[in-house]
Amino acid sequence: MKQFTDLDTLFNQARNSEPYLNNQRFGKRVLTLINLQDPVPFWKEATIEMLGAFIGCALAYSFFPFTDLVNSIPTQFSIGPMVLLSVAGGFSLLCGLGYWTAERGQL
Amino acid sequence: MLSATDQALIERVVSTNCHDSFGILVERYQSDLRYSLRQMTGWNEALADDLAQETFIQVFKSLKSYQGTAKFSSWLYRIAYNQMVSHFRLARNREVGASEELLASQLEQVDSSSTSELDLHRDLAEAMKALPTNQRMAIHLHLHRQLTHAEISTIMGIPLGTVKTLINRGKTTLRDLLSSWSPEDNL
Repeated sequence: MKQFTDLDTLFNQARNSEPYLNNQRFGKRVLTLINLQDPVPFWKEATIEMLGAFIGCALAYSFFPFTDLVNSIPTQFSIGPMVLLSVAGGFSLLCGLGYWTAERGQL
Repeated sequence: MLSATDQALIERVVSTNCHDSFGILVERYQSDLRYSLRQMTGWNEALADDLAQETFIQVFKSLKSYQGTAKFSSWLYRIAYNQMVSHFRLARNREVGASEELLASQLEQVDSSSTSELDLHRDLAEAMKALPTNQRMAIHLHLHRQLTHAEISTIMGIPLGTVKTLINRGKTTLRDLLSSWSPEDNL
């Protein structure tokens, strides 16, 4: 501490040598936090989503081979014992997996 | 845009939610506010910046309620003072530290070449810690920021007479404290 003279002199010295504190990071942080707290209006969010969905559908319609996909769907099914067994096995496996997932925390 | 008045910037923020205009207001006042808060917190840079940040966020949220009857800087300091008082009230019963130390490592520092110049400010902030929060604020606003008693009264939300009392008591305590310090203390 420098030698004390009087309060006015001391505060004058402090005022005259007050440093300028850099705003770069502080300002950015404040504005980022404000952006986070400033929710996007519902109409804006809905418009963007609708626009995205429309563009997606248009692209899918022009590029996706719908006809080939429809033609590839089988028109006849023959169910044999092996198919039935496979379906029953797969179903049991799914049920077991579901039960294990749901009860895992309590086991 | 930098030369726009505070009022014009505030109107732009309120009417168009313009973040750039608010950024200019932040840039304009951040240094003074952060310095004042450092003086109020015993030169705890992390805590002061945290409080300044909260203050600006609060200002942004309640800018619509700013009526322009007082100077914008006074309104800003009033919010900062309330933030500080709330913080000290909460901090009384809990340890403040870990998160602030982490934050401190991320904060920018003033040039190392000016470290010796900062000694005066740090020492003054350290001495101010001996005063109660309200005296500290009144003394800082009066002696450092050179605000009038009426302005201090508006910022702190207390009567004019109380402001005068706080300043006189603060001056006496600070004078007693500083007069007992000698240059040898520095050796």
